[in-house]
Amino acid sequence: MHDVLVVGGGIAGLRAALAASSRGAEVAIASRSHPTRSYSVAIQDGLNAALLPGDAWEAHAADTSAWGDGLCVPEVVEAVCRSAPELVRELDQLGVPFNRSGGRNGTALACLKLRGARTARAAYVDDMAGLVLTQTLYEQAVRAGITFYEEWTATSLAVGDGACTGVVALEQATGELQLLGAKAVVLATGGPRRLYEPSTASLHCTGDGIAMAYRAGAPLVDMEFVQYHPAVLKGQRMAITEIAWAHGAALATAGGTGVGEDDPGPGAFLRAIGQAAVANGGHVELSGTWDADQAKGLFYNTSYRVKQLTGLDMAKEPLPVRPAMHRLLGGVAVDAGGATSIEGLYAAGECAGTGFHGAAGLDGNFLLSAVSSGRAAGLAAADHASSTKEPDAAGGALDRDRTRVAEALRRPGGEPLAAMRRELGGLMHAHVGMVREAVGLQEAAQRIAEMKETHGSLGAGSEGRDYNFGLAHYLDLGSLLDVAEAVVASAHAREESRGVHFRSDHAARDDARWSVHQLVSASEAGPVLRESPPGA
Amino acid sequence: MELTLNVRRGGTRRSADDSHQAYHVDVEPETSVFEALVKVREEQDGTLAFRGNCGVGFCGDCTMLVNGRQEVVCLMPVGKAQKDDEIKIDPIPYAPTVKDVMYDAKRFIWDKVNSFSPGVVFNGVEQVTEEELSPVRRAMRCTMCGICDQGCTVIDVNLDFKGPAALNKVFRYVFDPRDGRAKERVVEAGETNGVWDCVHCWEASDHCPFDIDPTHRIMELRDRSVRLGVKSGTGNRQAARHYNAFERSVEHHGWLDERNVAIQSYGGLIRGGLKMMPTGLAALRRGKANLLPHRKRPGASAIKALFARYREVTRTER
Repeated sequence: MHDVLVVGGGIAGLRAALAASSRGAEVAIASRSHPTRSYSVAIQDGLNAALLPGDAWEAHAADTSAWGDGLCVPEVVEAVCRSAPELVRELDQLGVPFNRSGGRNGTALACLKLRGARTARAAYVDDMAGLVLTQTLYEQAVRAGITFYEEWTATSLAVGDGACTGVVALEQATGELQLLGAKAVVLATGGPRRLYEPSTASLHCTGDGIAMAYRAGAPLVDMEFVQYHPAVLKGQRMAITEIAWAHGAALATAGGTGVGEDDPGPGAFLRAIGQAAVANGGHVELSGTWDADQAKGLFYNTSYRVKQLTGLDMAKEPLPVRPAMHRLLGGVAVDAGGATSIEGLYAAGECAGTGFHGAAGLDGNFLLSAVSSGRAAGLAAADHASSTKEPDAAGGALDRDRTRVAEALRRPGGEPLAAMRRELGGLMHAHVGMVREAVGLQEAAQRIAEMKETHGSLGAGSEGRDYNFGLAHYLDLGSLLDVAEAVVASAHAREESRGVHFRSDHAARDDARWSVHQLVSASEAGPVLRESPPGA
Repeated sequence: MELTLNVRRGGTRRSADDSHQAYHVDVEPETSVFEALVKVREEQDGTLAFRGNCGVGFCGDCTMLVNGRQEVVCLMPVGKAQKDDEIKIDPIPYAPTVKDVMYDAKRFIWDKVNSFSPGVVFNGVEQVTEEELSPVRRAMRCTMCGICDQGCTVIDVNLDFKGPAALNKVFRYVFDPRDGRAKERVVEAGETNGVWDCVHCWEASDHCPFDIDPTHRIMELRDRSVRLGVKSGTGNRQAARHYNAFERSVEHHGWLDERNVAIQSYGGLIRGGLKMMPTGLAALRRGKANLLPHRKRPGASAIKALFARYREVTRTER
């Protein structure tokens, strides 16, 4: 029995674990891979914080809210933007070597001006902030004596008497399911990027934490807001770093016509690129003002990988890119302290619907949100644990999952599952992507319901216990389908356009009707929606 | 393009005739070897074990042998990797194997990395410069892909050698001006299987995909170690003594006094002298050595002055 169990070893999870540990809690992290193998390492932008003279947290908050298109939760935006400079300095002192300005002898934190910010505000670590933050937080987590369950896949939340008392998890090496008991659980499992094709997803971006909470009865919020990345290498998953926009990145069609140049809002910008890419044979061309020295320095990590994957030299040649699904802005509904509706259950990072991003997220605010929500949830979870006596282990979830897995091991898997995921990715991109309308959304809802039926008759495809990736694939697809139904239902109900949610059949923003968040809960009959006014 | 992936199957036991299973896939030439393997695992065989997550070369988890060469397979397009439309995939050989092409990363990397005190211990120094931080940043490009360790000629014969990846991690702490534990860290790094056991073959630097130049980082750790007054850890004292004798010889003679460097490396006049006696006598007999006192190089005093100047400059450094 742990005081606090964090599920997920990326930036939000590690930050949560450190925060809980700093309060004296005994903390463990269960993660599908070694923590530094998490998706977080692939994030390349920086963290927004009003660090420079002349900037102020109010300006950061104003930019965030403007981008969020009327749906940011003001209290959360204020809390995060106010604390951002402190969060960055904290990371710096934990060992993150943020870039400095003022040449070789400069000591002030350097900031970049990213899209949507009125001023230079993003602290950065070359083009590898995610990698370095993850490594640094992992170093500190080991130092803090945190217990690691590496390569354990959480399958269900253990909930008894309305309180979360731990997590059922599968040890990949043995295939054994165990109950990892805890007085408080923090979900930091990331987003469901694998739901879409194309996307920037790593293998583990399956939304499994969101699905676990949804199945356990916790409502999800803002699930209709799915943000694409404007510039992902054609045929690949690699996003061209957001900091390129601080160095004159521009997109053009092969004919040299600029795309999205008048800097409209995020939704219109993305749609313009998407349309131009379709009209231009599947991609547009990205170029910038960087030179060979910068390509070897500030953009080293990007340019090296681009060269490996495509053979192109980004210092000299334009890169073929197109938009691909990047982030879910909603997630498990939480309050400012990361608490979900289930006692003892917290959520942080991309799997949490904090209300910080509203209807569109600003570059540089995502890493900030991971750190900020991670810290908040870790502290709240530790406080909860210290005021809770050891709960009775709720064994029901473990028994259910053992049965579920044993049955899945005997059922066929493989190609039918793979075909389903391919179809799901295409379906979500076509009907629940950057442009949506009622008929397509109904069709998607219908197909997803059918897929859920079919999924129930499939399984792992083999009975082996050790490292059975067929089983993982089966369970992941189950998570993706649960998240998909919540996304589609939310997108279908919101009959207006706002932020990154664009309905071609309801193209205008409708404040009178839709200045609300939608909460979605699971039921036998399918997803159930209710509304909540902003800030409530 | 239609490809055949010949993937090593089996458990922990390796043998020269490991069996390989052929999987046929149809993918684009720019598809990475990693994506092709994921496709195989999802569509054809869920029991195929390999690691890898991010798919874009940051998580460092998908290192394998591709046609005999260690690669981060998500950054290797199949079109480039194939020979006659075939790709042979094996686990990296220096690490113990877990299953199929999955290697024991705990044994090969993490236990070594975490055997050194982890985490910067903030010393209150807030004003740090870009010049001080940029080498730390370069070292932190490391994704722990293990390719340098797979190229390491010491790990080849001694799996317990900490290896360039773990030592680069120590570099990251020791050279971070905000860390207050440099001295303790170089002592740790000087223990058996640490910095003094590196044979500076430069394979790590040749292998590192991310231009971290790990061998150089190990040499800088040795320099910093000596400068902090830690002339040898509890580990390979001979290598540390050799390092010091080499430096002293150049400082005092302007060039290398091979005879004395050898004696000092083996433990000084008595122990080293005795140990080197048979070699010395054989060299004398063959005319490859003489008993004349070692002569200074012309201009040795200028070289000595350089050393003095270097000491003066480095004394004022933090």
